[in-house]
Amino acid sequence: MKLLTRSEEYILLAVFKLGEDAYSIPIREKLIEITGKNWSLGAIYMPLERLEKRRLITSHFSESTPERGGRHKRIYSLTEAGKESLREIYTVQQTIWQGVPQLIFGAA
Amino acid sequence: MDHRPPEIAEKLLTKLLYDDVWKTTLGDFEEHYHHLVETEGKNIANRWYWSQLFRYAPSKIVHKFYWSVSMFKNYLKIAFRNLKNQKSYSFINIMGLTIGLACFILIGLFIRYELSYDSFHTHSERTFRVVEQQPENEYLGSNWFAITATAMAATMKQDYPEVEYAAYFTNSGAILRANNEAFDAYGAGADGDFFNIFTYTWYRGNEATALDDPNSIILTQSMAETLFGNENPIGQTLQQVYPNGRETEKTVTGVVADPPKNSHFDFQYIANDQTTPYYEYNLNEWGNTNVYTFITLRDGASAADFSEKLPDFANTYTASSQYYQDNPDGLPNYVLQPLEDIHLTSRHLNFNPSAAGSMNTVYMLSVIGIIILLIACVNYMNLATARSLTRAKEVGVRKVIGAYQSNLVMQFLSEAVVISFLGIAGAVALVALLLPTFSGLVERELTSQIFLQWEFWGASLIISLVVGAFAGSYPAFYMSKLKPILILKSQVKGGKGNAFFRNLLVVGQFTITAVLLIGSIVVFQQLQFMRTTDTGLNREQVLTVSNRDPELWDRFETVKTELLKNPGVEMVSSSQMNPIYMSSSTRGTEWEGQEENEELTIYVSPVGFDFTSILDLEVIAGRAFSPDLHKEMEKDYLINESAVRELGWTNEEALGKSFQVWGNDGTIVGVVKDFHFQSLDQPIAPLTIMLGPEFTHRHVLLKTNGQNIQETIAGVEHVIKEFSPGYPFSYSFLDERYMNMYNEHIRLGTLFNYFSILALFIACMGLFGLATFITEQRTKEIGIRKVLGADVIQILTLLNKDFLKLVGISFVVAVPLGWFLSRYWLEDFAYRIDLGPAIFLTAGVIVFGIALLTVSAKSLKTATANPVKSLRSE
Repeated sequence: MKLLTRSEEYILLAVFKLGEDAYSIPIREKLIEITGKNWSLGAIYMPLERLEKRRLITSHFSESTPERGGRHKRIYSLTEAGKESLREIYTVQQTIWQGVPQLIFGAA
Repeated sequence: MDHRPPEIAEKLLTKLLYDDVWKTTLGDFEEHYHHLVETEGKNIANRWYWSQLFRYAPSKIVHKFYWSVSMFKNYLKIAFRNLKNQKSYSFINIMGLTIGLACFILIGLFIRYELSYDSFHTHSERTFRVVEQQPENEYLGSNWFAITATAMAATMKQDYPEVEYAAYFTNSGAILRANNEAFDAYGAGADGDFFNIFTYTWYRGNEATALDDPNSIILTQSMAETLFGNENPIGQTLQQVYPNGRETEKTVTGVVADPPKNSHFDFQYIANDQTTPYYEYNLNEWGNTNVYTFITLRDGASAADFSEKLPDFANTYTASSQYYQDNPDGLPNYVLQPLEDIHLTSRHLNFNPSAAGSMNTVYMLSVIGIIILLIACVNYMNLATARSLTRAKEVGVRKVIGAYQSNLVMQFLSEAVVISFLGIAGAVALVALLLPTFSGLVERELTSQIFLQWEFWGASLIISLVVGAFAGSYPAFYMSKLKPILILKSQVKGGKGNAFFRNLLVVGQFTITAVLLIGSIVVFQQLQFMRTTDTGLNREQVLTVSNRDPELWDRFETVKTELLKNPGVEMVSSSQMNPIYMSSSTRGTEWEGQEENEELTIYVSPVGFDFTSILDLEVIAGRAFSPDLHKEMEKDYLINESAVRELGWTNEEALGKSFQVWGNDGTIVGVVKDFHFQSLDQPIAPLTIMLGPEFTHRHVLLKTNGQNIQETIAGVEHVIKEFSPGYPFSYSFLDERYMNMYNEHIRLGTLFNYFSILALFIACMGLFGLATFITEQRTKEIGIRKVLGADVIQILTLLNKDFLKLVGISFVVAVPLGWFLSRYWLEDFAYRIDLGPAIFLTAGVIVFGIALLTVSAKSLKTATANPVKSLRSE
């Protein structure tokens, strides 16, 4: 399976962490919080759509709220495949980072 | 929430994100918008919201365009596939539209031409003709006249600053003689700013000064060639011979291109009018009307304002003439007639320089053009909805796959447009083919020049789009509404409402067709009536030779003797006017027993001896003119029955009464039976025939024996040329002249007949298509019926009944309509046919017969087919 990109990884993590509240607006806020960088709404729609196409996440429509002008939310959640790919990227990263922190940051 | 995103941006975004069914994206935008309002302020939030629109727009639009193009490609593919698979159906549709559109285009070209008259003059939109109504002077059924007094143009220019140019012209025609050859030429004497008002292409000479000299004449290119060949005509001299025989020498000062034919007057020469006989006299006589007066108002001047000054003008100048001082009630009303309208609004005017067009014709042809196109469109509607069953599965599948109704509407509309494009391609080819014939039929110069104009192609494109959209509209909405579940379960039947609508369209088509047919029969019979009716005057084998040479009459006795030596000539006489169109009338009549204030308007025809016998006029009381009984000093008068009636006498009482016309005392010697001396449009009016001085005669009348016509004419020409050299020989036969009077009626009638036949043809093609389709659907049923013992007649009756019922209903509707319209048309004729039942029966038989043939062509085949064939397939 194709490995996740960085942004996909972040988004999956954000979706996972937000649980039942995982829709575009909080996801964006979470990403800004995690990365400390500004994310535009557009910048998360595309990866979300891609991830859904790859069946790593699914979505359903939930209730509407007045601040949304009475429109629905699209709530995302991780599929088993999504969780699996997170696990995989985690393993890859662990392997890659092995021994490196001591070289860069000095001994812990 | 008191903050809302910008409304327009929100609407646009909603449109743009059409595929976002649940509107979550919009919701996100709005939520974020509120967040921004709270953190960054409303301005930034608004700006952000707008920016979303511009960020999404390009890709979404490209996306949408891409898909509509690919769907459209698919629609086209399916459309062409259907065209190929259903050849006869496609043929009927395309053929119908081709003919309908071709008629429509031809008529459109004619109307455009009619409306273009005189607009080629530079100042045409502010140029007017002054016409007048003479309240007390009714002539040929109207008291309106296109001609006015000679002095009017110059006086108006002098008195009113808003008149920029003023000119008049006469329209008498003349003989032009150069290098000892004489030619009849039509043209005008003109004065004033003629060439400032009427602008032509100048080949030679100076436009501004060409008409200044009293002896100047300007020729058209073709007249210049006729007279002078290839020589330079400028400075050449020629003889202009006026109708009364007076001659003047003129010098050519200009050559213009032959004037465009879409002009209300045509000419081969324009001469300075000052050398015309009685010029000085006419210039000072406001009671004499004999010229066309034109003025061009200054830019910005109002014609309405100027019109208000015309009554004063009449009071100041016209009223001063002796004639109007004696007849103050007859003072004319002057009216401005816009130059561009002259061609179509001059029917009521006497003395038009050439036959005026008719607004009614324009209206009538427009209606016919639209009707024929409608009939063709209805064919498409009918056949397409009738065939909806065969397309139902396709509609069902498309809907199941996800097509919206709007997609299907688009699909069926584009199919109709494809057919109408093919139709117009055929129509343009047909127009190119028929244009010369059509142009001859309407007597207008419509040339293939039009194919070089972009307007023509633009209009064709728009017409085919409109026709396609119109014809396709009903089938598209009908078919796109079909319910997929019912379709796919095969439960769709040609619905009742659909069949009703279809029947209504067929009834409409055939009603119109029957009305047109009734109209053509009426027109045909009326023309036939005019052609063959006994007008009380024998036109057969009467030759008229026009003569403009006053000296010929001095020797007329000798000429007559010479002419009678010709074995083909039986009788010779002469007349001032053409005997089938005597148009000169007078009110200056006195008679024995006349009461004070009693007046008689009577047409006067000065003729020579033998006039009555040459034309077989029946003298029902008294005697005809006779050289033996004719007394020099006293006039003999013949009057017709209408005059006798008008004067309140009996035929016998009239004889011997003293009578005076134009101040000539005389006696009534005979009464002639009423005969038509004018067109049949006019009732027979009082007429007197008198022995007139021959020098006023314009026509030599010859009765031929009808054999060796060419030889006889050659002999006559020889004699006339011998006595009257230097004058062109021109002749015509009276019966030809008679038919020429009805030329326009005949032309229109013929046109009307052609269009009616085409309408019937298109309607029948549609009926054929419908019959084919419905018969095919019932093939199995017919097979079973035959197996069970039905014979061919029964099946034919079964199949034809429904259609013939529709045609029958149409006919019932058409009869009163046709009767009404025919009566309206016939009202123009003083002498007309009766609208008898035979006319309607004929139309009925034709429509019914053709419809029966059309339907039977298909049903007979089905009825006689072997039932095994239709039943075996299952």
